[in-house]
Amino acid sequence: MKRLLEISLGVLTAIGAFVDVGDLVASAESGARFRMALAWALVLGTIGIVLYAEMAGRIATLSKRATFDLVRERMGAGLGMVTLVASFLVNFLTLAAELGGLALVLALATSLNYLLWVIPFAAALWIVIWRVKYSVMEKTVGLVGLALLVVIVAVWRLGPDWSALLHSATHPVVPNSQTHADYWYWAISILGATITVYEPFFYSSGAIEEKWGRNDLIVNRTNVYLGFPLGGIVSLAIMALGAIFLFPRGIDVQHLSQSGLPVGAALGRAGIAFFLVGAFAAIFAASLETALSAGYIVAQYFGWPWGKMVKPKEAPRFHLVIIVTVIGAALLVQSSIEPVKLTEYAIALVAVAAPFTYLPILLLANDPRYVRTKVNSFLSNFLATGFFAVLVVASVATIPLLIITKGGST
Amino acid sequence: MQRSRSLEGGRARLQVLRGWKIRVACAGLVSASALSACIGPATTFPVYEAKAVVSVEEASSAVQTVRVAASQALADRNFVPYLSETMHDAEEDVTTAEGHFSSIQHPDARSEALRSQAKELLTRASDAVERARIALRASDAAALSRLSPTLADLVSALNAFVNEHR
Repeated sequence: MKRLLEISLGVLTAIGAFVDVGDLVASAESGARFRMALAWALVLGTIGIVLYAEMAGRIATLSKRATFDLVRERMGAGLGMVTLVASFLVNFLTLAAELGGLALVLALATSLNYLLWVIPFAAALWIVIWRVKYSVMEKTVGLVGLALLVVIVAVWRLGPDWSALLHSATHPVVPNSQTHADYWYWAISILGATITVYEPFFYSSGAIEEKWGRNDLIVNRTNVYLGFPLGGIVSLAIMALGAIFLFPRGIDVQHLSQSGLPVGAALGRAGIAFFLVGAFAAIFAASLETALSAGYIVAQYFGWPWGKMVKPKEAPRFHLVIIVTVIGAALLVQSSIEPVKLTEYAIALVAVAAPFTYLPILLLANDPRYVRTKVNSFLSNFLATGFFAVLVVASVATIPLLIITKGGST
Repeated sequence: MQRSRSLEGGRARLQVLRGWKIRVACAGLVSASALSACIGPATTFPVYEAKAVVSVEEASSAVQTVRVAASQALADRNFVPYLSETMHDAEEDVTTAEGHFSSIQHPDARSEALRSQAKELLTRASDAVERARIALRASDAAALSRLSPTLADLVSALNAFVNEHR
């Protein structure tokens, strides 16, 4: 019974923590521009993150070492450094976007300028990382993040034409008001918002922090096979709200506030309250994950002591990297760079960096020296290799599309 | 000793090469960001017309956002701080669209009429959005209610412009 409760809690946490500011912006905007024509990108991204997070969790559980710890050993110092730099830069931009997103949510709740909230949130983030227990931190924000399920209720309350919605998803058509370049740019953005670079590294490091053993492989599988797809449904519902409510009105999502308007229309103030609480918790969870991931990947690459559960004086460089990264990200947002634009660029650049971070995971998951008998099955390899090929194409196409579409705004 | 010097020289060259590559990569990223954000000149009527359509579309999106926000305020379906921020963001969007369009030099005499038409619509949009924001801040439901038909007419005019010139 205790085991079942633990597994259920893990799944619920995975659902609550799946969505971040990138999903809130990209899903709503793509729904508002293309209706459900980009649902396939969200489904593809969710399949990809499920495959690779499961591999990362399995590698960590069986080898007792986190993924990045093994990247340098398996790939060599040079390629490992390329992976580190690419992952760190995108992770840094993502953290800045999440901090901006947190500030925007509070600005919506209080009507105070979002810039007032950035530094206090950066400080709060650090205090939580410093003082709060790993399991408490992870489960609290994950469970409160479940308030975002309100978007699914909002879709149902708006009473859409379900067959038209399904038809739009299964027969993707680019509306006359949009270009094909925009369509592909947003497809890559949706992919980037769904896969994230930090997730596999955070997830595998968390497995080490929580001392997962062979018996926890079932927890690993249920978390990713159940929790992530259910989290993906929340993103799909946000896209559907854009398609049902914003698209017919010609509202192009430029601000986080516009993502919540359909919830207000469907459920009133109670819905908006749930939306704000859920968005805050989900973005706070992502901020914690990205801040910790910065410390994890650098410390693991250089072989320094690391871990949130390790006393700061025993892992000073790990904590120093986190502090410096959080301060840097807060300063970037404080420079009054538009947080939603920052989010859009960050999620597009995830696609550029993703092959560097996902290839080592695929190789390690097939190496019996690390996962013993639990190497990838033929089906896993077939799907993961196919997904990796998509990532490579997306990685090559991102920068040209970013320029051609002026960041998806043509 | 000589081998050690040659190794040091090799390392130094490698570092110079790495530094050069990093600088090229940074320049590439900065250029890409700049290229993706800049407003290009309009040298012909079709290009100018396309830019006018983009600006008017942005204004239309902002006015529609304000219409939704106003209706939620009147129906008590959202919180005032949320709607106030929404309208503030929309006002910024219209002002930006107006500013961007004004900064584009019209290429020929034919564009002059288009410019006047688009400018007039953008100014009306900016004015209406500002009035809605002020009414919301002042909790003036009557003024907000009176603005609803104006906003609806404005959206129709903006959409008509977009459909005519797309």
